[in-house]
Amino acid sequence: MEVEVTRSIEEQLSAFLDGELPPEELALLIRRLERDEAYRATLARYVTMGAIMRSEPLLRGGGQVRHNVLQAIATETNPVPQQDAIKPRRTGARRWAAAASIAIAVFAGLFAATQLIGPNQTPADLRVASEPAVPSAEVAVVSTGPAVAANVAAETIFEASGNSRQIVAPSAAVGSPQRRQQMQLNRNRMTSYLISHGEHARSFHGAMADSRMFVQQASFEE
Amino acid sequence: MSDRASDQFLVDRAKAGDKHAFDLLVLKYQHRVIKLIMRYVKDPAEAMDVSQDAFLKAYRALPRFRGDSAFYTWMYRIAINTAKNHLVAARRRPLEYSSDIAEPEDFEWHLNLQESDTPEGQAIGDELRAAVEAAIAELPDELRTAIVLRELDGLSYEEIAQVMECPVGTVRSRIFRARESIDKRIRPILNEV
Repeated sequence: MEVEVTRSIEEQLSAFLDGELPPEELALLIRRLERDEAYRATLARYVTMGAIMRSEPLLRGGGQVRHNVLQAIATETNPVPQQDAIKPRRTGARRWAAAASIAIAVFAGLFAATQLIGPNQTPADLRVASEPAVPSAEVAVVSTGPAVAANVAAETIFEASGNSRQIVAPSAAVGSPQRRQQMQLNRNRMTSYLISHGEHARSFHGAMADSRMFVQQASFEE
Repeated sequence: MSDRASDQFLVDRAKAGDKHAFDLLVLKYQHRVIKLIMRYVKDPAEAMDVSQDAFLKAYRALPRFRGDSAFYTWMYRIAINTAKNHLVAARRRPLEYSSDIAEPEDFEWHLNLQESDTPEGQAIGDELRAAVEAAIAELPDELRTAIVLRELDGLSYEEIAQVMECPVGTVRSRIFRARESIDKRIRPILNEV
């Protein structure tokens, strides 16, 4: 009975050496190998006979390599990364992952900017919309859709492209003289920008040919 | 379970702190690593030192081993780098070798059996080789075919089963019985060493 068990384990050792042992048997065998020096010796002989068959070198001190390695790692708590060991090659997948990260970051930045200033606005638009020297809660919010809340005053601006958007600002801030002065300053700046923009938009045809018409609306419409 | 999966299992255990798992990897591959390093470092004693160093580097680098390649492929690169660094450090010129070998599978260099640098070691090596050859010659055909297809041709059990037209379980049993027979021949010699 005991002989049969031993043979069975030795057959497992043979299959293990060939990488053919099923996972459920592998875990048990490794635990057995940890405990039993005789099985490790058997495995070592199996390795040796394979090496002889393949005409691999058999150095008398070959077993010493294993012994020394085991002794050296016994003093180490866990595998520790080492700088001078081989560096893993950067695979294509990793390169793509890095490129994708950059692309996502750029996209996220653009998306955030678009959400803030509207899809057809330029950074100059943003500067005009957010310049008022008021607390951040009062900074104008730009929306591309209808007015976002009932308590906001909205002014519609038509661009040379023909798209419209609304600049909305908290109504509570509109009444103060300081705020009115700031808004007027903003309008002047916007007018100036749109005039400048309109000069570059002459290539548009028809009603869009001269955006200064819309500039007038933008400048004086409340 | 493939050879690679089996090795990965051991690697995972070694990463988790099981040093015996790494010892099994050393046991499994030490002959191949020494053979590889001896292409660069001719002196057997030095080759063993470098092999030891290579295994230690591999152990310390285990956290970076993700299993993208087989363990031995990764170990092979570490072994070559360690051997080259050794030669640079020793300010020696490497032995002639083909620098375009990228993978161990391409490695077709046949080193003569170098049992030892001593006459006694040479004698033991000769004795072992003769014992293995005699044991293989005495094996029944089906056992000999199975062990040769595995050890020399590197076929998997499934491939051997196809070649020999038998179940995989029978292949496993035949290879074991072949090893068992050879083991009976070499064990007394190795016990004397």
